[in-house]
Amino acid sequence: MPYAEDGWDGSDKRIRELLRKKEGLSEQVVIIGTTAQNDEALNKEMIEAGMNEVVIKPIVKETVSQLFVKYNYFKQDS
Amino acid sequence: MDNSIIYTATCAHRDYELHFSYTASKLLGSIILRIVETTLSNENHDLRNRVKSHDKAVAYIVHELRTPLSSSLYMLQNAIEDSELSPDVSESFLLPAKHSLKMLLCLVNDILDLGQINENRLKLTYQKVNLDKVIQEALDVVGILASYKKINLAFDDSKLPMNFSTDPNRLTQVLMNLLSNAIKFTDEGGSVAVSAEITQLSPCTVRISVKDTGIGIKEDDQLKLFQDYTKIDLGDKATMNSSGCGLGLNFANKIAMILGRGSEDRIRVQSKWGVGSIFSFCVVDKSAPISAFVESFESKAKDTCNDIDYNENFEENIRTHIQSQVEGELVYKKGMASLSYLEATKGPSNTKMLSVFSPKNDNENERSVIELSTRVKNKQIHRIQKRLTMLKKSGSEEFHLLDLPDSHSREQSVLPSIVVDTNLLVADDDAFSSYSMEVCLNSVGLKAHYCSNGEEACLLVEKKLESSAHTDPGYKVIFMDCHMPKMDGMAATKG
Repeated sequence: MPYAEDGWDGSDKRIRELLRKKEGLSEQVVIIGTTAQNDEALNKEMIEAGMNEVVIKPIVKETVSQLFVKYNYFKQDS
Repeated sequence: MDNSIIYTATCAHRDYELHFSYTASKLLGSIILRIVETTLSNENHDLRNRVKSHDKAVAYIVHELRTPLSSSLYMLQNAIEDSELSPDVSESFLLPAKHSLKMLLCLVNDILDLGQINENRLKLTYQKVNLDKVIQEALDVVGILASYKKINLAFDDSKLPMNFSTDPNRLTQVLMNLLSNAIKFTDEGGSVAVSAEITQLSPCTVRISVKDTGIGIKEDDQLKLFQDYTKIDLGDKATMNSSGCGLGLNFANKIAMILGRGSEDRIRVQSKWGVGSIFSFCVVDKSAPISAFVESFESKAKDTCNDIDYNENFEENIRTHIQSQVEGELVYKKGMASLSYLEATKGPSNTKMLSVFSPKNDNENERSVIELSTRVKNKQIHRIQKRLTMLKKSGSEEFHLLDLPDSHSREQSVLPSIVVDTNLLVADDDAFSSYSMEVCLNSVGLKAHYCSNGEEACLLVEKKLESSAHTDPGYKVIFMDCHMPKMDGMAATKG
């Protein structure tokens, strides 16, 4: 395990794996990768790691609004 | 004894010696050559590695600079917008600070972009734009500089394509570079003129020229123009060239080549010392060819709704193609008229709809709709109105499609204003980034938990899961920085 030297015990306590233990929960959680650089290779790596999408920092409120709309986290007014 | 024999034998011996000596020296030469080659190759390899690691170090440092710079700029912008702050403070301190930070950020971005270009990793984002508008916007930005020097800024507003596929940000970057250079090297009272003309129809190619009445460039110096970190010696006019690090024009040239057709579309320079200069470059319409477009449509033909790039030039071809593929009457509606049509017809269930979205085509976010009343069964109309409302309210200018569940329901829905039950986690090792994220989230009424590395994020998620109900995931949205100590964002996410 590459993280053992940093004190990581090598268990499966990584977010997607933790969520997957409870059926259906992983799909409910949106992980937004944040980075300061628009690097295609890095973006691909982040998506492959299980992030839903990648946004470039600094994150402004318009971006947050769009993300919440996109992932249906706004409560719908009747 | 026969002398001749001895002579011959001696000669043969000498020949042998000579031959041996020649072969040995040749062999020795080859060995030495091989040793030299190997040594040089190793040194070359070492040098390349050193250059690579140097470039990597520079990229890393510049990248690390970008985060605090971006955050500072964002915070400064928030401070400037703060209504309680005295206008004097804003104008005297914050605005100049913002301007300087912006310049620094531009430089940092240029260095990062240049690294990406050199490694062929720069990705352009193409979209349909009105070229006139892009040029005009660039002129508006540099207008302040021009008016400060009383320079007449003109644009030959020719009829340019309205739906030209290019990367508007990169195009603006090239234009801004050429325009700001033109203004910088033109004396007070001079003029800078931008013109654009279509030089080729297929693919549509437009040559954009920036002409100034500035100091001009000597012939010898023209060769140095596009070298990295090179500034031309202007003699007694040196003060004109005091700012900048000699990177901008080279960078603009590389971008111009990507916007055009590669090296044949590098920035061209015509200049005469003391008279002025003309810098010009070509942009080529990067629309997908019709075959690729049709292929894309066909691959999605089974979907209820196909969302594709918009290009007015293709409309007729699309209609002809669809008409040839399916039976039934083709109804074509554009923009808001399509929405009215959908409202009026209530979306018959045997309808197949191809929607073409062009948010920047009009003032309003409009969607063109080609609707087919065909024999295709089990097709539904998406809640297009809802999508549009959402897009409008979210202030999106980009092409974003929101994945909503299919439904026959056509009820009017509106965007919400209140967020409830949203559990957020922000993992970022940079305190300033976390703080600006907090400001940003607070401004839209959101609260979050914060941690500084992937390991902490995992532990928080685990803890939250344990304390939540069986069907509750705890955190619903996690903002995860990619580079963090202990455990980075990718490792923390892994799945």
